[in-house]
Amino acid sequence: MEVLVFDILGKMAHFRQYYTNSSSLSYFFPPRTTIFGMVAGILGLPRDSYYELFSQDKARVALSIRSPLRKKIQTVNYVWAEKPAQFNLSAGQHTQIPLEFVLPYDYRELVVYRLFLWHGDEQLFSRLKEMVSKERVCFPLYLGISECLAHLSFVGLGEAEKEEFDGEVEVSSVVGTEYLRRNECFIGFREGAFYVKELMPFSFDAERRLNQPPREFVGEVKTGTIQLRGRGTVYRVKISGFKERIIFMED
Amino acid sequence: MLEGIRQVGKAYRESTSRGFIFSLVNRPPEDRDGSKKHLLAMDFRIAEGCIELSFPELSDRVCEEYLWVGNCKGSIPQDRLTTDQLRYLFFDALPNLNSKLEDGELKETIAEVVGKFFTEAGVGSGKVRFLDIRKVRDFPSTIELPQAEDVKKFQREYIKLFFKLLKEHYNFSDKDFGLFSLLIEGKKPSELEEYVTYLERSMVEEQFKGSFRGTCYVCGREDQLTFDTTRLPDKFYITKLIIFSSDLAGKSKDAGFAKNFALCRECYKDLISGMRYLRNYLSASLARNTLYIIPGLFSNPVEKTLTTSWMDLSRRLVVSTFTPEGFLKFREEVEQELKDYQEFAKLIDYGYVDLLFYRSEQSSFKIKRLIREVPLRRVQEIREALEETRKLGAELLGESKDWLLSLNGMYYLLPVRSGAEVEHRKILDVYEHLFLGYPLDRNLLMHFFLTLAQVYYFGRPDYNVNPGNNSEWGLVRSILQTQLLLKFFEKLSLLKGGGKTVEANLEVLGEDIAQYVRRMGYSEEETALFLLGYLIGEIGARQLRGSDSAKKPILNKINFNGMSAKRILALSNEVFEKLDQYQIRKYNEKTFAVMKSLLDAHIKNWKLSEAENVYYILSGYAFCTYQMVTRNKRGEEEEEQ
Repeated sequence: MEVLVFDILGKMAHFRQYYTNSSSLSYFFPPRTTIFGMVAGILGLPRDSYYELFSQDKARVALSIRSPLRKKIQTVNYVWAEKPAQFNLSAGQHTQIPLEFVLPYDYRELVVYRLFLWHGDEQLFSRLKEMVSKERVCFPLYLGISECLAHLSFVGLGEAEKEEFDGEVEVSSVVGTEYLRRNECFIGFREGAFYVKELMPFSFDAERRLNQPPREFVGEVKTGTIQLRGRGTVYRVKISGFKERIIFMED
Repeated sequence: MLEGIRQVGKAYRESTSRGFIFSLVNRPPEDRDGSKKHLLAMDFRIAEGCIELSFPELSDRVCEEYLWVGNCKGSIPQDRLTTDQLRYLFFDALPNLNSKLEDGELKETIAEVVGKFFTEAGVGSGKVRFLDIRKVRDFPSTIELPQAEDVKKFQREYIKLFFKLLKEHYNFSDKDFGLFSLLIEGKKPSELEEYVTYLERSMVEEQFKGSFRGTCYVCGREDQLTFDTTRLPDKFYITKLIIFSSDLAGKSKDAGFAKNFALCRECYKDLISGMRYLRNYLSASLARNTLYIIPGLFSNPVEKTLTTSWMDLSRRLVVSTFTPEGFLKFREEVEQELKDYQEFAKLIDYGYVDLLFYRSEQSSFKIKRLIREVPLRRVQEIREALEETRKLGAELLGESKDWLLSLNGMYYLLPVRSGAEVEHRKILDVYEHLFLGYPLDRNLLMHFFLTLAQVYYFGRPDYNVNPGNNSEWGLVRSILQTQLLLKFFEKLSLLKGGGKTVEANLEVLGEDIAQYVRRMGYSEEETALFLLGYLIGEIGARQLRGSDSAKKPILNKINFNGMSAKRILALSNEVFEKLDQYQIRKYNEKTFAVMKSLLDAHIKNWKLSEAENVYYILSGYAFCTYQMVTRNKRGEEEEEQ
């Protein structure tokens, strides 16, 4: 299976956890729905028009965390609006919202996520490949909220080959807990590793409602790699210069 | 976090057999002054036409019997039979409850109670309805009602009058009570089935009145859902402002908040119970911050589920690192209590906690920091490092309770400006690094330590640290504690050790100094400064001996803001002169010689910062002074014997 590999980089990110708003916490990495929102932005698809285009059976994506991450909470002022008429600040007050940002561990660096992407629609996929290989976007990219602008960096086109494992394997993508359960795998704990578990929306229907249960993903936010023990199938991606094992979010 | 809270609620609900509402019972309000608080129970005896008072002492059992589930939040009208605000019972709760109850026996009874026991009075231009305290048995039937122009003032005066009468007749004052409750014909709230059903309806079913079909955002089941979270106890998700809703569409079944987050009935109940359990049993306080300790199990091959005993154990394990007393208590009570230590060890590999620091005011709930997925194994490592540091302290400085560090104790070694929210984040940063294993910045710590020295030396009042009466001794003890703190951080791999360790023959200076320097892992520059500080300690002691004041003028030679290498060199010369002046050079010749040789060897290529220079001088000073004081004490004790 051919996969398009590219990085999304930015100074900071905020992917709001859907059950927080008056204190807005962030996921460490973007949910699948957000990833395809960014892809739709690259392609210039109109808002809310693309959910079915990237459904589980049509598109696959693996996400790799490529920079050590940390979080910081910064309080920001939001407009107080209980009704549309108050968007002109007529309520006369603001609301202070603690907003959690994802930042690179070393502030001088960037937050980097690598995407391994495949799409079943050849026409759409080749358009995407063309855009990404030229590092062009239709709508500006951002990491979660428009204040967190980002850019993309093309890595290459690779071949993802299935590989069975029995024992230990190191994957460089986030892994769904459903995958772990189904394959009776578990995570080998490593000294100094920092694993996070995120419950995230997985896919929307055309009306932007959940059409599947939210799913839980495990990521390692210091090195980005996860040591899996057990039995299962991973994908080995080869691109000139590197070889990595990944698990698609849909697996 | 959400899944964690749900798991907590689920485990708690499964552990309580009396139904959902009983899982929401609060613990008794805390008595700030340490005295035992009571519940004021007012029993309506309808046939006799009087109110009987009783005053059970507050306990978990009493809270359950009287169904203390908290007041209604925000602008929701008060309707609880048990509350911590007497005015709700006197004025609003019963009429409100009556209007909301469904037709039935209780509704009729309450209507009768309101008719018989409530009265009205004119206040200002309007009227106010209130409980007639003249019906209380033993109270006089002729009581003059307070006069007031507005309702609030009337309410205040009326309650004051009630407590005055209570004092006269029962010798109880308002401070004796933590809760207030109403009984009907001797039946406590938990015995009024219709009331229990009503509470469940008002807390859950009313939120599902406008429910719609969809996929639950928590468990993923297809079910009837609600997006109305107004009754959740901790509001980190609100639906009041449309700015948070999808397409800014606000509250609607088909748009807005319905597309953001919606819950099924079971998850809704689990979350309410979970939040209540967190507040009741899994909360704690650290560095003047309130926090929840939310336990969970990571990808879990031992196939264990969360239980209340495991949650309690997780909390106790975490809290044991907060204070020295907690540390010792955990060791004595819990480790020895554990019947199956292997089971504990197995679970500890897969258990984690989320530490949610928050600020809660009235109905608002703001998250200050969420330290996520702290493995319990890490908490154990912290405990072990605390114990090792204590042992190191005892070995180098002698046994003392001061050497058992704690997370809360650290707050007083890393001073922050009182009241400044931004400053307080710094201490939460340190905790985050500690729990998650992120490296700490040595320069930042040095900045903290110098500020600490300034707080003690200059008595700066604008910090969280109170220097107390004996600031001199406080400075010595705190600096030694910071030395151990650095070792503690090193043990947890949060700090790299110093540079190249000292090779000079330190044994000539005495076993104590040599051992301290080597065990602290000082580099040669650090050792030079430590010895310089040691000599300053000797001079300071001499200066004290011949003077009436408790001041040591030699300390004025130290610039607590930091000193350059050049200034250090000048200080070493001044120290030499002072040793001569006070005729103690002959006792300190070797120390001076080693210090000078190390200083001269590195002064041209000095690697330490200005802050570090001062800090290591103070370390030597503190070590010297501590030794002298404890040696003197020991001498006095031996003499007495």
